[in-house]
Amino acid sequence: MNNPYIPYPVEIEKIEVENESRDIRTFRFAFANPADRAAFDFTAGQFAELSVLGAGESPVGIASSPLDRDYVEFTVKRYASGVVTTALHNLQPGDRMGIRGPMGNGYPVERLAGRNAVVISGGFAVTTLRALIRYLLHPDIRPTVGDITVIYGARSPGELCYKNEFLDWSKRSDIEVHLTVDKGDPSWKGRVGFVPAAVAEIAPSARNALCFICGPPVMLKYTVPELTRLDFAPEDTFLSFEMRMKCGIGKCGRCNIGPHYVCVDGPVFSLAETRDMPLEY
Amino acid sequence: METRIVPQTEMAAFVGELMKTARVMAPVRRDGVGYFEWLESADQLDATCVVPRSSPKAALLPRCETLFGWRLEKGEQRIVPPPEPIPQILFGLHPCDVRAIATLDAVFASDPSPDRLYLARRAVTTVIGRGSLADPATAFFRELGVDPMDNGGCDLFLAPLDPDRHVLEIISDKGRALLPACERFPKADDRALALLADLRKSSAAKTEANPGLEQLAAKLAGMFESDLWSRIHEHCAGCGVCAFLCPTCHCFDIQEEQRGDRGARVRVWDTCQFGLFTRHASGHNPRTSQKERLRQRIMHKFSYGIEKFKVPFCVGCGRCVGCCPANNDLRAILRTIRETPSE
Ligand SMILES: Cc1cc2nc3c(=O)[nH]c(=O)nc-3n(C[C@H](O)[C@H](O)[C@H](O)COP(=O)(O)OP(=O)(O)OC[C@H]3O[C@@H](n4cnc5c(N)ncnc54)[C@H](O)[C@@H]3O)c2cc1C
Ligand code: SF4
Ligand code: SF4
Ligand code: FES
Repeated sequence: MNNPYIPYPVEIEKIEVENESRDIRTFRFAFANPADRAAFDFTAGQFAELSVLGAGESPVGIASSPLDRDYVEFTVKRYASGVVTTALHNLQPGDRMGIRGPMGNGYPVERLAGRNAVVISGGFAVTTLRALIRYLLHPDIRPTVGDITVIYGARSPGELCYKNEFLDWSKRSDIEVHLTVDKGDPSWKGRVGFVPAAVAEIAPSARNALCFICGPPVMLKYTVPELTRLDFAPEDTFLSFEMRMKCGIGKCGRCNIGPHYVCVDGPVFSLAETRDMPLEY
Repeated sequence: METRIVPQTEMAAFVGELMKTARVMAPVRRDGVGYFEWLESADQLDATCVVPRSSPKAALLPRCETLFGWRLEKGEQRIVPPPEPIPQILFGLHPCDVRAIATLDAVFASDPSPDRLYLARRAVTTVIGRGSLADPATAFFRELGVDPMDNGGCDLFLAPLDPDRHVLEIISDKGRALLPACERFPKADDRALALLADLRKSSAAKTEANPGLEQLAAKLAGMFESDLWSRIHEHCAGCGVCAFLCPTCHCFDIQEEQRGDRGARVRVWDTCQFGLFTRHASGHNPRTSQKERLRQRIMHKFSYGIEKFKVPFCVGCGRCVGCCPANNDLRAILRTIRETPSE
């Protein structure tokens, strides 16, 4: 049995600035020991603790696909007062750090066989859904699922994460991508409006579909009723939760919502499960 | 089971023998107050203290524990594993404190990632319980089904017969490994064992056989929005004393220590009674006031813990009742909960 608190050593291969505010960056890591990548076997929707010695650890959703075998990616927003996220943003390609995981349950991708996927996101919470989309678009996986519909919104065009990737996807015929921004700019030719309104207008079909939704609380608050109106079953609608965490393995007692430890039983819960949860998140 | 008679006057000598085999944590008395502490010499032992103010959990979950160390060597980060735990004996634990260890075990052994640091320390820990015939004023373990003469979970157990004598029960393999330290005591005779059986019977008669903890858990689950919480937190200062003294509270924080090119990641006790416990980096906090925090403490102990780990996170030791500066009384809170009509 291993010490569950010791992270795998990784090296930063690449850092991508994701937004105009420059406070969101995507880090690509290579495992120092290739065997660790095999041990780090995960499903889209899982997360890991990013470790910077001397600064601490932060739980962050895995943003790359489980089938991106050579590396893992995480997209991190820096908070001005945030110790770990600031330390992370100060690192350079070539620097060494650690990751501990994978943790949590992930999206129920096995239930997607032969079914349609509706993916809805707002802001930088899109990270693990990007992992899910990348996974579903893999040539081995794409034929096993039905239609894929994506609705993704951000404050402004400059705040859309993975912008080029989404623009590339929007040109493909095997995935339907709708991008929207709260407020456009002269260069933006796409849709303008909030995510809930886009969902109502696009009205993705709930038939034979699972829905995955991540975003800030206000977006969830107004989007969930739209989904209910569109007949998405609560058992088939999945959300990802965020609670302050430390251990990530169900020991430190920090992340519970009612009896559910978000780090182990979550972060992904069906809307049906969340209806039995106390409102404390 | 092998049994011996240990005279009260020999208790310190017994502990002295044990100290030759391992480090020993036992009740000591300072300024009139009992504490569980690592002994430096056997004569520090307070052989009468029943439920010391501090609990023995620090032996298994140290207040500050190195998860791993690290140092930079020519720019390379080297991880330094923590030292292996050394054999230890916990002496004179009240059966409620022994029950609390079962709670810690349930949490730290839980899947999918058992806590190897805890389990390694637990594996080299021998538990010597001691029963009691008189219950401390603030304790309510009997209400929760904990019998103060029960030797469950112990490797050795000292069962009191009268103020002058205990029957020493040698229960497990770990207990038998301490036989050399026990052999100086005479074997218990039939009369002593018959007396012990009687004492156990009357103790069991005074202990709740069906504490109804599952029902309590289910009832509490439906009381999240009860106005009870707005009432009971009013005096609570959020000091966290209840959690730090509690033998079952195990929530921890992980902190960084660094000096120059070396450092350590350490775990330190933490508590849901502190506002920072759940505060996100964004400033959002799901538990904004002491109302939510005290509710979390009660819910974790009597509802979530039972639902998730199948063990209550309270053993009725009464420490939090005796030490709360605001006189919050968990016994009264439980009574109110039990008396609240179910919805
Ligand atoms: C399951 C999960 C997935 C997440 N995915 C992402 C992601 O993909 N991208 C991203 O930018 N952020 C993500 N977060 C949020 C991220 O963990 C916090 O923003 C980050 O930990 C803040 O750390 P800090 O040291 O900069 O802040 P500080 O305020 O200095 O926090 C100190 C410590 O508290 C804990 N902590 C503080 N805020 C949070 C929080 N909101 N959630 C969890 N732990 C916290 C961390 O251990 C942190 O190191 C996720 C959180 C969870 C629980
Ligand atoms: S000891 Fe009393 S005042 Fe302090 S946190 Fe506990 S209940 Fe509140
Ligand atoms: S909650 Fe209070 S009575 Fe219960 S085990 Fe903890 S300190 Fe003892
Ligand atoms: S983060 Fe420690 S229990 Fe969930």
